[in-house]
Amino acid sequence: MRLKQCAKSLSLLTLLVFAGAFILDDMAVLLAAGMLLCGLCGQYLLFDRRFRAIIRSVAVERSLSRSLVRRGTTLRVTTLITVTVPPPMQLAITERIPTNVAVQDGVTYVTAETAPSPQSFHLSYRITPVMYGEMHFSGISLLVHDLLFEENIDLSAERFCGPSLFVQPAGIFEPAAKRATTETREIEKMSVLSGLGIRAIREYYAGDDLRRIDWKLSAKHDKLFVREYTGVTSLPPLIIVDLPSRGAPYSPAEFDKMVTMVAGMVEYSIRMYQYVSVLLISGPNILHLMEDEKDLQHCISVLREWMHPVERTVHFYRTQDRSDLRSRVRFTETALDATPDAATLRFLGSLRGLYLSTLQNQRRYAFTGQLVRIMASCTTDEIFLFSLFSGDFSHIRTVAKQAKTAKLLVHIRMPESAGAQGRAAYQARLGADTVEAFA
Amino acid sequence: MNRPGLELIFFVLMAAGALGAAVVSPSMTGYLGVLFLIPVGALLFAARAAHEKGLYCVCSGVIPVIACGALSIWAGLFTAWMLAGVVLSVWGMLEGNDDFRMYLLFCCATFFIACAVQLSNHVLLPLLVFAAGAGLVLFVQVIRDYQFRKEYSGVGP
Repeated sequence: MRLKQCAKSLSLLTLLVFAGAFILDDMAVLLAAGMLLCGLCGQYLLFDRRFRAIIRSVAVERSLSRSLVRRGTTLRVTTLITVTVPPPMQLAITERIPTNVAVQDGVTYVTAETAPSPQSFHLSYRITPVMYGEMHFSGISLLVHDLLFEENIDLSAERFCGPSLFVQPAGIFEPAAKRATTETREIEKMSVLSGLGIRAIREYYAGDDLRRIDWKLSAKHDKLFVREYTGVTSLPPLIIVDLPSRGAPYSPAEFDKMVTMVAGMVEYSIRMYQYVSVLLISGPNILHLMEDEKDLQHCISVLREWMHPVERTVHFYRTQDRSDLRSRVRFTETALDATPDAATLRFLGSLRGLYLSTLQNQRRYAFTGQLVRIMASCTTDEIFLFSLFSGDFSHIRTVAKQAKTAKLLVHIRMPESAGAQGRAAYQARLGADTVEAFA
Repeated sequence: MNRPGLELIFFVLMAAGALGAAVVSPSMTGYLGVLFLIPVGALLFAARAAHEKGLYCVCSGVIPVIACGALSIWAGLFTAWMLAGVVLSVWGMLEGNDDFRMYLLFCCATFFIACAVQLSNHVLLPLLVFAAGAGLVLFVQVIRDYQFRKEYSGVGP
Protein backbone atom coordinates (compact mmCIF):
# COMPACT_ATOMS: atom_id res chain seq x y z
CA MET A 1 0.00 0.00 0.00
CA ARG A 2 1.31 3.41 -0.92
CA LEU A 3 0.23 6.80 0.37
CA LYS A 4 -0.79 9.37 -2.19
CA GLN A 5 0.22 13.00 -1.89
CA CYS A 6 -2.86 13.88 0.14
CA ALA A 7 -2.34 11.05 2.63
CA LYS A 8 1.36 11.89 2.95
CA SER A 9 0.48 15.46 3.88
CA LEU A 10 -2.09 14.30 6.43
CA SER A 11 0.39 11.83 7.95
CA LEU A 12 2.97 14.58 8.28
CA LEU A 13 0.40 16.85 9.90
CA THR A 14 -0.57 14.08 12.35
CA LEU A 15 3.06 13.53 13.32
CA LEU A 16 3.60 17.25 13.84
CA VAL A 17 0.51 17.59 16.02
CA PHE A 18 1.56 14.53 18.06
CA ALA A 19 5.02 16.06 18.50
CA GLY A 20 3.39 19.35 19.55
CA ALA A 21 1.21 17.51 22.07
CA PHE A 22 4.25 15.75 23.51
CA ILE A 23 6.35 18.93 23.75
CA LEU A 24 3.55 21.16 25.15
CA ASP A 25 1.99 18.36 27.23
CA ASP A 26 -1.39 19.73 26.14
CA MET A 27 -4.43 17.43 26.12
CA ALA A 28 -6.32 19.54 23.54
CA VAL A 29 -3.47 19.12 21.04
CA LEU A 30 -3.39 15.40 21.83
CA LEU A 31 -7.11 15.21 21.13
CA ALA A 32 -6.60 16.82 17.70
CA ALA A 33 -3.73 14.44 16.94
CA GLY A 34 -5.84 11.46 18.05
CA MET A 35 -8.65 12.56 15.74
CA LEU A 36 -6.27 12.80 12.80
CA LEU A 37 -4.75 9.40 13.54
CA CYS A 38 -8.18 7.84 13.91
CA GLY A 39 -9.33 9.36 10.64
CA LEU A 40 -6.27 8.18 8.74
CA CYS A 41 -6.42 4.65 10.16
CA GLY A 42 -10.14 4.49 9.45
CA GLN A 43 -9.66 5.56 5.85
CA TYR A 44 -6.89 3.02 5.43
CA LEU A 45 -9.02 0.18 6.79
CA LEU A 46 -11.89 1.25 4.56
CA PHE A 47 -9.62 1.33 1.54
CA ASP A 48 -8.28 -2.10 2.39
CA ARG A 49 -11.79 -3.53 2.70
CA ARG A 50 -12.81 -2.13 -0.69
CA PHE A 51 -9.55 -3.26 -2.25
CA ARG A 52 -10.20 -6.83 -1.14
CA ALA A 53 -13.76 -6.67 -2.42
CA ILE A 54 -12.47 -5.60 -5.84
CA ILE A 55 -9.89 -8.38 -6.00
CA ARG A 56 -12.45 -11.00 -4.97
CA SER A 57 -14.77 -9.87 -7.77
CA VAL A 58 -12.19 -10.26 -10.54
CA ALA A 59 -12.76 -12.99 -13.14
CA VAL A 60 -10.47 -13.49 -16.15
CA GLU A 61 -11.05 -15.46 -19.34
CA ARG A 62 -8.27 -15.48 -21.90
CA SER A 63 -8.23 -17.06 -25.33
CA LEU A 64 -5.62 -17.31 -28.08
CA SER A 65 -6.34 -17.46 -31.77
CA ARG A 66 -3.77 -20.29 -31.96
CA SER A 67 -2.06 -22.23 -29.22
CA LEU A 68 0.76 -23.71 -31.29
CA VAL A 69 2.72 -21.34 -33.50
CA ARG A 70 6.07 -20.93 -35.06
CA ARG A 71 8.44 -18.25 -33.80
CA GLY A 72 7.72 -14.96 -35.53
CA THR A 73 4.07 -15.79 -36.20
CA THR A 74 1.58 -13.19 -35.07
CA LEU A 75 -1.50 -14.28 -33.17
CA ARG A 76 -4.37 -12.55 -31.42
CA VAL A 77 -5.03 -12.73 -27.70
CA THR A 78 -8.42 -11.81 -26.28
CA THR A 79 -8.95 -11.36 -22.55
CA LEU A 80 -12.31 -10.80 -20.92
CA ILE A 81 -12.05 -9.30 -17.44
CA THR A 82 -15.06 -8.90 -15.18
CA VAL A 83 -14.73 -6.76 -12.06
CA THR A 84 -16.84 -4.70 -9.66
CA VAL A 85 -15.43 -1.32 -8.62
CA PRO A 86 -17.25 0.19 -5.62
CA PRO A 87 -17.22 3.98 -5.22
CA PRO A 88 -14.99 5.94 -4.72
CA MET A 89 -12.33 3.54 -5.99
CA GLN A 90 -10.67 3.61 -9.37
CA LEU A 91 -8.96 0.74 -11.07
CA ALA A 92 -6.35 0.28 -13.78
CA ILE A 93 -5.95 -3.18 -15.29
CA THR A 94 -2.83 -4.21 -17.17
CA GLU A 95 -2.35 -7.51 -18.94
CA ARG A 96 0.81 -9.35 -17.86
CA ILE A 97 2.32 -10.28 -21.16
CA PRO A 98 4.80 -13.15 -21.26
CA THR A 99 8.41 -12.25 -21.74
CA ASN A 100 9.88 -12.93 -25.16
CA VAL A 101 6.86 -11.76 -27.07
CA ALA A 102 6.50 -8.48 -28.92
CA VAL A 103 3.13 -6.76 -28.80
CA GLN A 104 2.22 -5.69 -32.32
CA ASP A 105 -0.92 -3.68 -31.62
CA GLY A 106 -4.13 -3.68 -29.62
CA VAL A 107 -5.16 -2.87 -26.07
CA THR A 108 -3.32 -4.31 -23.08
CA TYR A 109 -4.38 -1.70 -20.52
CA VAL A 110 -7.74 -0.44 -19.40
CA THR A 111 -9.03 1.83 -16.65
CA ALA A 112 -12.29 1.16 -14.84
CA GLU A 113 -14.43 3.81 -13.27
CA THR A 114 -16.70 3.33 -10.32
CA ALA A 115 -19.86 1.30 -10.92
CA PRO A 116 -22.11 -0.57 -8.50
CA SER A 117 -22.57 -3.56 -10.81
CA PRO A 118 -19.89 -5.83 -12.37
CA GLN A 119 -18.24 -4.40 -15.46
CA SER A 120 -16.67 -6.36 -18.32
CA PHE A 121 -13.59 -5.28 -20.23
CA HIS A 122 -12.19 -6.77 -23.42
CA LEU A 123 -8.47 -6.59 -24.00
CA SER A 124 -7.59 -7.62 -27.51
CA TYR A 125 -4.07 -7.46 -28.87
CA ARG A 126 -1.70 -9.25 -31.19
CA ILE A 127 1.63 -10.68 -30.15
CA THR A 128 4.59 -12.11 -31.98
CA PRO A 129 6.78 -14.60 -30.11
CA VAL A 130 10.45 -13.80 -30.55
CA MET A 131 11.72 -16.91 -28.78
CA TYR A 132 10.62 -20.51 -28.93
CA GLY A 133 9.41 -22.67 -26.06
CA GLU A 134 6.34 -22.73 -23.86
CA MET A 135 5.00 -19.33 -22.89
CA HIS A 136 2.54 -18.86 -20.09
CA PHE A 137 0.22 -15.91 -19.62
CA SER A 138 0.78 -15.01 -16.00
CA GLY A 139 -2.38 -13.12 -15.14
CA ILE A 140 -3.10 -9.43 -14.84
CA SER A 141 -1.88 -6.49 -12.77
CA LEU A 142 -4.30 -4.23 -10.97
CA LEU A 143 -3.69 -0.76 -9.63
CA VAL A 144 -6.45 0.28 -7.23
CA HIS A 145 -6.52 3.80 -5.89
CA ASP A 146 -8.73 6.36 -4.22
CA LEU A 147 -8.03 9.87 -3.02
CA LEU A 148 -5.61 8.89 -0.26
CA PHE A 149 -4.15 5.47 -0.99
CA GLU A 150 -3.11 3.26 -3.86
CA GLU A 151 -2.26 -0.39 -4.02
CA ASN A 152 -1.15 -2.66 -6.81
CA ILE A 153 -1.32 -6.40 -7.03
CA ASP A 154 -0.32 -8.98 -9.60
CA LEU A 155 -3.09 -11.52 -9.91
CA SER A 156 -1.06 -14.55 -10.87
CA ALA A 157 -3.05 -17.30 -9.18
CA GLU A 158 -4.01 -20.19 -11.42
CA ARG A 159 -7.51 -18.93 -12.21
CA PHE A 160 -6.13 -15.68 -13.66
CA CYS A 161 -3.40 -17.32 -15.77
CA GLY A 162 -3.15 -19.34 -18.92
CA PRO A 163 -3.54 -20.61 -21.50
CA SER A 164 -0.07 -21.68 -22.55
CA LEU A 165 1.36 -20.82 -25.91
CA PHE A 166 3.69 -23.32 -27.52
CA VAL A 167 6.18 -21.70 -29.83
CA GLN A 168 8.16 -23.84 -32.20
CA PRO A 169 11.55 -22.73 -33.43
CA ALA A 170 11.56 -21.23 -36.88
CA GLY A 171 13.78 -22.41 -39.65
CA ILE A 172 12.73 -26.08 -39.91
CA PHE A 173 11.68 -26.00 -43.52
CA GLU A 174 11.64 -28.92 -45.86
CA PRO A 175 13.20 -28.29 -49.25
CA ALA A 176 10.85 -26.58 -51.65
CA ALA A 177 9.13 -28.84 -54.11
CA LYS A 178 9.70 -28.31 -57.82
CA ARG A 179 7.37 -25.67 -59.09
CA ALA A 180 5.03 -26.75 -61.85
CA THR A 181 4.10 -23.54 -63.61
CA THR A 182 0.87 -23.57 -65.51
CA GLU A 183 0.88 -20.33 -67.32
CA THR A 184 -2.86 -19.97 -67.51
CA ARG A 185 -5.79 -20.77 -65.30
CA GLU A 186 -9.33 -21.82 -66.18
CA ILE A 187 -12.13 -19.58 -64.98
CA GLU A 188 -15.87 -20.12 -64.79
CA LYS A 189 -16.77 -17.54 -67.38
CA MET A 190 -16.68 -17.01 -71.10
CA SER A 191 -13.46 -15.99 -72.72
CA VAL A 192 -11.91 -15.69 -76.16
CA LEU A 193 -9.60 -18.54 -75.34
CA SER A 194 -11.24 -21.67 -74.02
CA GLY A 195 -9.77 -24.18 -71.64
CA LEU A 196 -10.31 -27.91 -71.40
CA GLY A 197 -12.84 -27.90 -68.55
CA ILE A 198 -16.58 -27.84 -69.24
CA ARG A 199 -18.36 -24.91 -67.69
CA ALA A 200 -21.92 -25.75 -68.82
CA ILE A 201 -23.99 -27.71 -71.32
CA ARG A 202 -26.77 -26.09 -73.32
CA GLU A 203 -28.96 -26.71 -76.32
CA TYR A 204 -27.53 -26.22 -79.76
CA TYR A 205 -28.28 -22.98 -81.53
CA ALA A 206 -27.70 -22.31 -85.19
CA GLY A 207 -24.18 -21.02 -85.69
CA ASP A 208 -22.61 -22.95 -82.79
CA ASP A 209 -19.35 -24.70 -83.49
CA LEU A 210 -20.15 -28.27 -84.50
CA ARG A 211 -16.99 -29.47 -82.76
CA ARG A 212 -18.54 -28.52 -79.44
CA ILE A 213 -21.55 -30.82 -79.79
CA ASP A 214 -21.71 -33.45 -77.06
CA TRP A 215 -22.72 -36.43 -79.20
CA LYS A 216 -23.26 -38.85 -76.35
CA LEU A 217 -25.68 -36.52 -74.53
CA SER A 218 -27.38 -35.56 -77.81
CA ALA A 219 -27.99 -39.24 -78.62
CA LYS A 220 -29.39 -39.89 -75.19
CA HIS A 221 -31.92 -37.03 -75.29
CA ASP A 222 -32.47 -37.03 -79.03
CA LYS A 223 -31.63 -33.35 -79.12
CA LEU A 224 -28.41 -31.50 -79.94
CA PHE A 225 -26.42 -30.29 -76.95
CA VAL A 226 -23.20 -28.29 -77.03
CA ARG A 227 -20.48 -27.95 -74.42
CA GLU A 228 -19.45 -24.57 -73.14
CA TYR A 229 -15.83 -24.66 -72.22
CA THR A 230 -14.27 -22.72 -69.40
CA GLY A 231 -12.46 -19.52 -70.23
CA VAL A 232 -8.76 -19.03 -69.78
CA THR A 233 -7.14 -16.13 -68.09
CA SER A 234 -3.62 -15.21 -67.18
CA LEU A 235 -2.39 -15.71 -63.66
CA PRO A 236 -2.88 -13.01 -61.01
CA PRO A 237 0.23 -11.52 -59.47
CA LEU A 238 1.50 -12.26 -56.00
CA ILE A 239 1.36 -8.99 -54.07
CA ILE A 240 4.08 -8.62 -51.47
CA VAL A 241 3.83 -5.74 -49.02
CA ASP A 242 6.87 -4.83 -46.97
CA LEU A 243 5.66 -3.04 -43.83
CA PRO A 244 7.99 -0.61 -42.05
CA SER A 245 9.52 -1.46 -38.70
CA ARG A 246 7.91 0.09 -35.64
CA GLY A 247 10.05 2.90 -34.30
CA ALA A 248 11.97 3.38 -37.54
CA PRO A 249 11.41 6.68 -39.34
CA TYR A 250 9.09 6.57 -42.34
CA SER A 251 6.93 8.98 -44.27
CA PRO A 252 3.24 8.62 -43.28
CA ALA A 253 2.18 10.29 -46.54
CA GLU A 254 4.09 7.75 -48.61
CA PHE A 255 2.79 4.96 -46.42
CA ASP A 256 -0.79 6.09 -47.05
CA LYS A 257 -0.08 6.13 -50.76
CA MET A 258 1.29 2.61 -50.53
CA VAL A 259 -1.78 1.41 -48.63
CA THR A 260 -4.09 2.95 -51.23
CA MET A 261 -2.13 1.40 -54.05
CA VAL A 262 -2.08 -2.04 -52.45
CA ALA A 263 -5.84 -1.90 -51.82
CA GLY A 264 -6.43 -0.85 -55.42
CA MET A 265 -4.26 -3.62 -56.75
CA VAL A 266 -6.00 -6.21 -54.60
CA GLU A 267 -9.39 -5.03 -55.82
CA TYR A 268 -8.23 -5.03 -59.44
CA SER A 269 -6.78 -8.49 -59.10
CA ILE A 270 -9.99 -9.92 -57.64
CA ARG A 271 -12.10 -8.29 -60.35
CA MET A 272 -9.82 -9.39 -63.14
CA TYR A 273 -8.61 -12.80 -62.01
CA GLN A 274 -11.24 -13.69 -59.41
CA TYR A 275 -8.70 -14.16 -56.67
CA VAL A 276 -5.53 -12.68 -55.25
CA SER A 277 -2.57 -13.76 -53.14
CA VAL A 278 -1.09 -11.25 -50.74
CA LEU A 279 2.04 -11.78 -48.69
CA LEU A 280 2.71 -9.36 -45.84
CA ILE A 281 6.29 -9.09 -44.69
CA SER A 282 8.26 -6.71 -42.55
CA GLY A 283 11.96 -7.01 -43.17
CA PRO A 284 12.85 -10.71 -43.16
CA ASN A 285 9.70 -11.61 -41.18
CA ILE A 286 6.75 -13.29 -42.84
CA LEU A 287 3.69 -11.81 -41.17
CA HIS A 288 0.68 -13.10 -43.04
CA LEU A 289 -0.14 -14.90 -46.26
CA MET A 290 -3.51 -14.70 -47.96
CA GLU A 291 -3.44 -17.39 -50.58
CA ASP A 292 -5.99 -17.45 -53.41
CA GLU A 293 -8.39 -15.19 -51.57
CA LYS A 294 -11.61 -14.46 -53.43
CA ASP A 295 -13.45 -12.33 -50.89
CA LEU A 296 -12.63 -8.66 -51.41
CA GLN A 297 -14.16 -7.65 -48.07
CA HIS A 298 -11.99 -10.15 -46.24
CA CYS A 299 -8.92 -8.92 -48.09
CA ILE A 300 -9.64 -5.33 -47.20
CA SER A 301 -10.28 -6.19 -43.55
CA VAL A 302 -7.00 -8.11 -43.36
CA LEU A 303 -5.16 -5.20 -44.96
CA ARG A 304 -6.82 -2.80 -42.55
CA GLU A 305 -5.69 -4.98 -39.67
CA TRP A 306 -2.09 -5.23 -40.82
CA MET A 307 -1.31 -1.96 -42.53
CA HIS A 308 0.77 -0.24 -39.90
CA PRO A 309 4.38 -0.38 -38.74
CA VAL A 310 5.07 -3.65 -36.96
CA GLU A 311 7.57 -4.99 -34.51
CA ARG A 312 10.31 -6.89 -36.32
CA THR A 313 11.60 -9.99 -34.58
CA VAL A 314 14.39 -10.64 -37.07
CA HIS A 315 16.50 -7.99 -38.79
CA PHE A 316 18.73 -8.11 -41.84
CA TYR A 317 21.55 -5.66 -42.24
CA ARG A 318 23.61 -5.85 -45.42
CA THR A 319 22.99 -9.57 -45.37
CA GLN A 320 24.79 -11.67 -47.92
CA ASP A 321 23.50 -15.05 -48.96
CA ARG A 322 25.57 -17.88 -50.41
CA SER A 323 25.21 -16.76 -54.01
CA ASP A 324 26.38 -13.24 -53.10
CA LEU A 325 29.42 -14.63 -51.36
CA ARG A 326 30.19 -16.93 -54.29
CA SER A 327 30.00 -14.00 -56.70
CA ARG A 328 32.36 -12.02 -54.47
CA VAL A 329 34.80 -14.94 -54.39
CA ARG A 330 34.66 -15.05 -58.18
CA PHE A 331 35.22 -11.29 -58.32
CA THR A 332 38.31 -11.49 -56.10
CA GLU A 333 39.68 -14.40 -58.14
CA THR A 334 39.29 -12.38 -61.34
CA ALA A 335 40.90 -9.37 -59.71
CA LEU A 336 43.78 -11.55 -58.42
CA ASP A 337 44.55 -12.68 -61.96
CA ALA A 338 44.55 -9.12 -63.26
CA THR A 339 46.55 -7.38 -60.47
CA PRO A 340 50.36 -7.22 -60.64
CA ASP A 341 50.77 -5.20 -57.42
CA ALA A 342 52.01 -7.34 -54.50
CA ALA A 343 50.18 -5.41 -51.76
CA THR A 344 46.87 -5.57 -53.64
CA LEU A 345 47.45 -9.27 -54.24
CA ARG A 346 47.93 -9.86 -50.53
CA PHE A 347 44.80 -7.87 -49.74
CA LEU A 348 42.69 -9.66 -52.34
CA GLY A 349 44.06 -13.01 -51.21
CA SER A 350 43.10 -12.41 -47.59
CA LEU A 351 39.70 -11.05 -48.71
CA ARG A 352 39.08 -14.18 -50.75
CA GLY A 353 40.06 -16.30 -47.75
CA LEU A 354 37.58 -14.42 -45.58
CA TYR A 355 34.80 -14.86 -48.11
CA LEU A 356 35.55 -18.55 -48.44
CA SER A 357 35.60 -19.14 -44.69
CA THR A 358 32.29 -17.26 -44.36
CA LEU A 359 30.84 -19.24 -47.24
CA GLN A 360 31.70 -22.53 -45.58
CA ASN A 361 29.64 -21.71 -42.51
CA GLN A 362 26.90 -19.80 -44.28
CA ARG A 363 23.50 -21.49 -44.11
CA ARG A 364 20.32 -20.62 -45.91
CA TYR A 365 18.19 -18.05 -44.11
CA ALA A 366 14.80 -19.10 -42.78
CA PHE A 367 13.27 -16.15 -44.62
CA THR A 368 14.68 -17.45 -47.91
CA GLY A 369 13.25 -20.89 -47.22
CA GLN A 370 9.83 -19.45 -46.41
CA LEU A 371 9.86 -17.36 -49.57
CA VAL A 372 10.80 -20.32 -51.71
CA ARG A 373 7.97 -22.36 -50.24
CA ILE A 374 5.42 -19.59 -50.71
CA MET A 375 6.47 -18.89 -54.28
CA ALA A 376 6.29 -22.59 -55.04
CA SER A 377 2.77 -22.87 -53.68
CA CYS A 378 1.39 -19.70 -55.33
CA THR A 379 0.58 -20.14 -58.98
CA THR A 380 1.72 -16.88 -60.46
CA ASP A 381 3.94 -15.40 -63.11
CA GLU A 382 4.82 -12.11 -61.54
CA ILE A 383 5.13 -10.45 -58.20
CA PHE A 384 4.42 -6.88 -57.21
CA LEU A 385 6.48 -5.76 -54.23
CA PHE A 386 5.44 -2.63 -52.34
CA SER A 387 7.96 -1.15 -49.97
CA LEU A 388 8.89 2.21 -48.45
CA PHE A 389 12.59 1.30 -48.69
CA SER A 390 13.24 2.73 -45.23
CA GLY A 391 16.43 1.29 -43.81
CA ASP A 392 18.18 -1.80 -45.05
CA PHE A 393 16.72 -3.56 -48.07
CA SER A 394 18.59 -6.86 -47.98
CA HIS A 395 15.26 -8.65 -47.59
CA ILE A 396 13.92 -7.02 -50.76
CA ARG A 397 17.01 -8.20 -52.59
CA THR A 398 16.32 -11.69 -51.27
CA VAL A 399 12.71 -11.52 -52.48
CA ALA A 400 13.76 -10.31 -55.91
CA LYS A 401 16.46 -12.96 -56.17
CA GLN A 402 14.15 -15.81 -55.18
CA ALA A 403 11.50 -14.55 -57.58
CA LYS A 404 14.02 -14.48 -60.37
CA THR A 405 15.12 -17.99 -59.48
CA ALA A 406 11.49 -19.08 -59.72
CA LYS A 407 11.31 -17.34 -63.13
CA LEU A 408 8.83 -14.73 -61.95
CA LEU A 409 8.69 -11.16 -63.16
CA VAL A 410 9.47 -8.69 -60.39
CA HIS A 411 7.73 -5.33 -60.28
CA ILE A 412 8.76 -3.04 -57.48
CA ARG A 413 6.71 -0.08 -56.27
CA MET A 414 8.50 2.42 -54.07
CA PRO A 415 8.10 6.01 -52.82
CA GLU A 416 8.31 8.84 -55.28
CA SER A 417 10.97 10.58 -53.19
CA ALA A 418 13.68 8.27 -54.54
CA GLY A 419 13.46 10.02 -57.89
CA ALA A 420 13.87 8.58 -61.37
CA GLN A 421 17.62 8.05 -60.97
CA GLY A 422 17.15 6.38 -57.61
CA ARG A 423 14.56 4.03 -59.06
CA ALA A 424 16.87 3.15 -61.93
CA ALA A 425 19.66 2.44 -59.43
CA TYR A 426 17.38 0.19 -57.38
CA GLN A 427 16.24 -1.60 -60.54
CA ALA A 428 19.85 -2.34 -61.43
CA ARG A 429 20.81 -3.45 -57.93
CA LEU A 430 17.75 -5.60 -57.33
CA GLY A 431 17.45 -6.99 -60.82
CA ALA A 432 13.78 -6.03 -60.95
CA ASP A 433 11.89 -5.94 -64.23
CA THR A 434 10.19 -2.65 -63.41
CA VAL A 435 10.54 -0.13 -60.61
CA GLU A 436 7.85 2.52 -60.36
CA ALA A 437 6.82 5.15 -57.84
CA PHE A 438 3.54 5.02 -55.91
CA ALA A 439 0.96 6.77 -58.00
CA MET B 1 -16.14 28.62 -6.68
CA ASN B 2 -17.87 25.32 -6.00
CA ARG B 3 -21.49 24.93 -5.09
CA PRO B 4 -21.84 24.42 -1.31
CA GLY B 5 -23.70 21.30 -0.16
CA LEU B 6 -23.50 18.99 2.83
CA GLU B 7 -20.14 20.46 3.78
CA LEU B 8 -21.83 23.83 4.36
CA ILE B 9 -24.20 22.28 6.91
CA PHE B 10 -21.27 20.70 8.74
CA PHE B 11 -19.34 23.97 8.62
CA VAL B 12 -22.29 25.95 10.01
CA LEU B 13 -22.65 23.38 12.81
CA MET B 14 -18.93 23.61 13.52
CA ALA B 15 -19.12 27.41 13.68
CA ALA B 16 -22.18 27.20 15.93
CA GLY B 17 -20.34 24.76 18.22
CA ALA B 18 -17.28 27.00 18.43
CA LEU B 19 -19.44 30.06 19.10
CA GLY B 20 -21.41 28.18 21.76
CA ALA B 21 -18.20 27.07 23.47
CA ALA B 22 -16.89 30.65 23.39
CA VAL B 23 -20.15 31.95 24.89
CA VAL B 24 -20.31 29.30 27.63
CA SER B 25 -16.64 29.74 28.61
CA PRO B 26 -15.68 33.26 27.55
CA SER B 27 -11.90 33.40 27.20
CA MET B 28 -9.22 34.44 24.74
CA THR B 29 -8.81 30.82 23.55
CA GLY B 30 -12.52 30.55 22.77
CA TYR B 31 -12.45 33.70 20.66
CA LEU B 32 -9.35 32.41 18.87
CA GLY B 33 -11.25 29.23 18.01
CA VAL B 34 -14.01 31.29 16.42
CA LEU B 35 -11.49 33.49 14.66
CA PHE B 36 -9.64 30.54 13.17
CA LEU B 37 -12.87 29.27 11.61
CA ILE B 38 -12.61 32.11 9.09
CA PRO B 39 -9.68 30.60 7.13
CA VAL B 40 -11.48 27.22 7.16
CA GLY B 41 -14.56 28.77 5.61
CA ALA B 42 -12.52 30.81 3.15
CA LEU B 43 -10.59 27.74 1.97
CA LEU B 44 -13.77 25.71 1.79
CA PHE B 45 -15.24 28.11 -0.74
CA ALA B 46 -12.11 29.34 -2.48
CA ALA B 47 -10.19 26.14 -3.24
CA ARG B 48 -11.00 24.61 -6.62
CA ALA B 49 -9.99 20.94 -6.61
CA ALA B 50 -11.80 18.67 -4.15
CA HIS B 51 -8.69 16.93 -2.84
CA GLU B 52 -6.95 20.27 -2.24
CA LYS B 53 -10.03 21.69 -0.55
CA GLY B 54 -10.26 18.75 1.87
CA LEU B 55 -6.57 18.83 2.69
CA TYR B 56 -6.57 22.58 3.32
CA CYS B 57 -9.68 22.26 5.50
CA VAL B 58 -7.97 19.61 7.65
CA CYS B 59 -4.80 21.68 8.00
CA SER B 60 -6.63 24.88 8.87
CA GLY B 61 -9.32 23.08 10.92
CA VAL B 62 -6.83 21.56 13.37
CA ILE B 63 -6.34 24.95 15.08
CA PRO B 64 -10.06 25.53 15.93
CA VAL B 65 -10.20 21.90 17.18
CA ILE B 66 -7.25 22.58 19.49
CA ALA B 67 -8.71 25.93 20.59
CA CYS B 68 -12.13 24.44 21.36
CA GLY B 69 -10.43 21.43 23.00
CA ALA B 70 -8.57 23.82 25.28
CA LEU B 71 -11.94 25.14 26.50
CA SER B 72 -13.49 21.72 26.87
CA ILE B 73 -12.56 18.29 25.51
CA TRP B 74 -16.18 17.75 24.44
CA ALA B 75 -16.28 21.04 22.53
CA GLY B 76 -13.07 19.97 20.78
CA LEU B 77 -14.60 16.57 20.03
CA PHE B 78 -17.69 18.15 18.52
CA THR B 79 -15.57 20.50 16.39
CA ALA B 80 -13.51 17.53 15.21
CA TRP B 81 -16.64 15.59 14.24
CA MET B 82 -17.94 18.52 12.24
CA LEU B 83 -14.55 19.06 10.62
CA ALA B 84 -14.51 15.38 9.63
CA GLY B 85 -18.00 15.82 8.17
CA VAL B 86 -16.83 18.83 6.14
CA VAL B 87 -13.79 17.01 4.78
CA LEU B 88 -15.62 13.78 3.98
CA SER B 89 -18.38 15.72 2.20
CA VAL B 90 -15.83 17.62 0.15
CA TRP B 91 -14.11 14.37 -0.83
CA GLY B 92 -17.42 12.76 -1.79
CA MET B 93 -17.16 10.15 0.95
CA LEU B 94 -20.51 10.90 2.54
CA GLU B 95 -22.93 9.90 -0.16
CA GLY B 96 -24.46 6.54 0.72
CA ASN B 97 -25.79 4.87 3.84
CA ASP B 98 -22.60 2.90 4.13
CA ASP B 99 -20.60 6.14 4.20
CA PHE B 100 -22.74 7.58 7.01
CA ARG B 101 -22.35 4.34 8.92
CA MET B 102 -18.59 4.69 8.64
CA TYR B 103 -18.83 8.31 9.77
CA LEU B 104 -20.79 7.23 12.84
CA LEU B 105 -18.16 4.57 13.52
CA PHE B 106 -15.51 7.31 13.35
CA CYS B 107 -17.54 9.41 15.82
CA CYS B 108 -17.79 6.46 18.23
CA ALA B 109 -14.06 5.72 18.00
CA THR B 110 -13.13 9.34 18.58
CA PHE B 111 -15.54 9.49 21.51
CA PHE B 112 -13.49 6.78 23.22
CA ILE B 113 -10.30 8.64 22.35
CA ALA B 114 -11.77 11.79 23.94
CA CYS B 115 -12.72 9.77 27.04
CA ALA B 116 -9.15 8.47 27.24
CA VAL B 117 -7.80 12.01 26.92
CA GLN B 118 -10.27 13.31 29.53
CA LEU B 119 -9.21 10.66 32.04
CA SER B 120 -5.48 11.23 31.56
CA ASN B 121 -3.44 13.78 33.46
CA HIS B 122 -0.48 13.84 31.08
CA VAL B 123 0.08 13.29 27.37
CA LEU B 124 2.65 10.52 27.56
CA LEU B 125 0.43 7.57 28.51
CA PRO B 126 -2.37 8.16 25.96
CA LEU B 127 0.29 8.95 23.37
CA LEU B 128 1.87 5.57 23.96
CA VAL B 129 -1.55 3.93 23.80
CA PHE B 130 -2.26 5.59 20.44
CA ALA B 131 1.13 4.62 19.06
CA ALA B 132 0.69 1.04 20.26
CA GLY B 133 -2.81 0.91 18.77
CA ALA B 134 -1.62 2.23 15.42
CA GLY B 135 1.32 -0.19 15.46
CA LEU B 136 -1.00 -3.09 16.25
CA VAL B 137 -3.33 -2.14 13.40
CA LEU B 138 -0.39 -1.97 10.99
CA PHE B 139 1.02 -5.29 12.21
CA VAL B 140 -2.30 -7.08 11.78
CA GLN B 141 -2.70 -5.49 8.36
CA VAL B 142 0.74 -6.66 7.24
CA ILE B 143 -0.13 -10.25 8.13
CA ARG B 144 -3.56 -10.04 6.52
CA ASP B 145 -2.03 -8.50 3.41
CA TYR B 146 0.55 -11.28 3.18
CA GLN B 147 -2.11 -13.96 3.44
CA PHE B 148 -4.32 -12.20 0.92
CA ARG B 149 -1.52 -11.81 -1.62
CA LYS B 150 -0.48 -15.39 -1.10
CA GLU B 151 -3.95 -16.47 -2.13
CA TYR B 152 -4.25 -14.25 -5.20
CA SER B 153 -0.65 -13.76 -6.32
CA GLY B 154 1.01 -16.85 -4.99
CA VAL B 155 3.81 -14.75 -3.44
CA GLY B 156 4.25 -12.12 -0.77
CA PRO B 157 4.30 -8.37 -1.54
